[in-house]
Amino acid sequence: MTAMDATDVTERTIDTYVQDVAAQLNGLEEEERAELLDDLRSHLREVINENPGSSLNDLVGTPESYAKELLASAGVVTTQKPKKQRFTHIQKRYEETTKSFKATTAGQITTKYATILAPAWWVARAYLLVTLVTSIIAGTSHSFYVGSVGQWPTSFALSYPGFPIPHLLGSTIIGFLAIIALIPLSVAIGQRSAEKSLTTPVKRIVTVSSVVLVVFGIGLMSYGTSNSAQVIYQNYATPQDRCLSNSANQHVTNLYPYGTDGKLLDNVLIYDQTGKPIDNLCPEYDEQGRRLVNEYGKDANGAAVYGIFPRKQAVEESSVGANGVMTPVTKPVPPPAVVIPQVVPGSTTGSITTTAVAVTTPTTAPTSATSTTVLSGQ
Amino acid sequence: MSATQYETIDGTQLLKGVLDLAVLAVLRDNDGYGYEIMRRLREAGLDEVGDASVYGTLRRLYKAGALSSYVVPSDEGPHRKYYAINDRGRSGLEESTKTWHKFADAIDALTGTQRKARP
Repeated sequence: MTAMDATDVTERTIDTYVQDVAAQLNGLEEEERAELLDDLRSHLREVINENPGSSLNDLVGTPESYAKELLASAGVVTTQKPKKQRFTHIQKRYEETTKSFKATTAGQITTKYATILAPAWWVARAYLLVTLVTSIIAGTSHSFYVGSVGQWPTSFALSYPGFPIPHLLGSTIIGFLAIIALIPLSVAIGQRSAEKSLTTPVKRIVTVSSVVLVVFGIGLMSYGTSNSAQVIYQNYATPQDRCLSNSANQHVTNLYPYGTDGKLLDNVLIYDQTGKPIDNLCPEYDEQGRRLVNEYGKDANGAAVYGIFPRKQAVEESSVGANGVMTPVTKPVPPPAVVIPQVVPGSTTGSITTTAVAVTTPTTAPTSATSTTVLSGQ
Repeated sequence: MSATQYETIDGTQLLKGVLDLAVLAVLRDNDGYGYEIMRRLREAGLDEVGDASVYGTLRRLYKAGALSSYVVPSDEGPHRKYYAINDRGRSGLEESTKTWHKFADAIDALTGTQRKARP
């Protein structure tokens, strides 16, 4: 770092500190304040010069404590509690942005429609809140799969009977009543917020939760176009990213070997061209984000054999028990519907002749029965 | 009914009462700028002096008319604001010193401390 860079960084550090102190210096005349801040600036430069490498907070204390001490020694008694730094900055920037936007024509039209549509939003957010809570309660037995962020909790919200009424605590009636109960509350909050008679902490809670509900609502709506959503979400880096995906970018959870006669084969060992068994599928979750349970064959040492296909798999689902509580239930995964092409025997696209393939019997024989098929001439 | 706390005096509490006096005393023979004044106070043994307190006191004394200030431009960097004691400050210093000695003697007598006799 050159000398110039060091000075820039120092100046910026000093600027920040002085700004922070300035924000706390209430109850002073402008001239007085300016003088004190000027002194502070010079002082901080000296302090940093004498003690390079130390932080200002270590050297002279936090801006808050400095300001307090400064006010006390300068003979000013503060009765005003300075507002929390972070929020005032954010609030100010937000107010400036909205003010300049409202001045534009687009801004005025938006404001007009926002006022008219506000009651609809008040009702909608009651519904979204109940739906979100339902998903969270029911979904806590599921582990959160980062790779399908768009699928839980929205997919769960949509996958119960009675949709679109949320299935709160296992009953659509409870869900419906909860929504009905929340609507007046939401409307009351909306009206107070329009009258600007909400206290600041309440206003903040409402704003934050409204943002959450809007995001959740968008997730719900976009789930309808699920295919595109799946492609987007599976592009996120997940621990399973290195595992096998097909050409449609979907994770491969199982392989189903069929003969050209259309018969599903069983207990087939599949290897790649290096002789390595196929063992890098992504068998933990299916495309809908539901957990999969896999069973592998074991060899004589008790080690799992991964290369046997099709794998025995079951999917974990939550079903509503008699008491209205969600319990996990496993259902075997059925093989997919496939299209068997009609291969004309003896006809090929090229003229490769295959040699017999060497098969080595492993030293530890697999305990499950396997049918080894030596492939030739196909 | 809760008992009132007995607090031992620490350096900062004592200092608050006499910082004006200390600052004026530091400036009696030599003008100084903020950082330097703070250093002189600390070298004299007042290591509890907070940075902010020095500046607040300087500002207050200046407004009370006990100090004057002037700016010395510097080639290598920004200007320095120097404070100087004026006549009003000097008389104030004299008064405060007397008050201090009287107070200190009284406490010394009470605590049984022998101090040097003063002319």
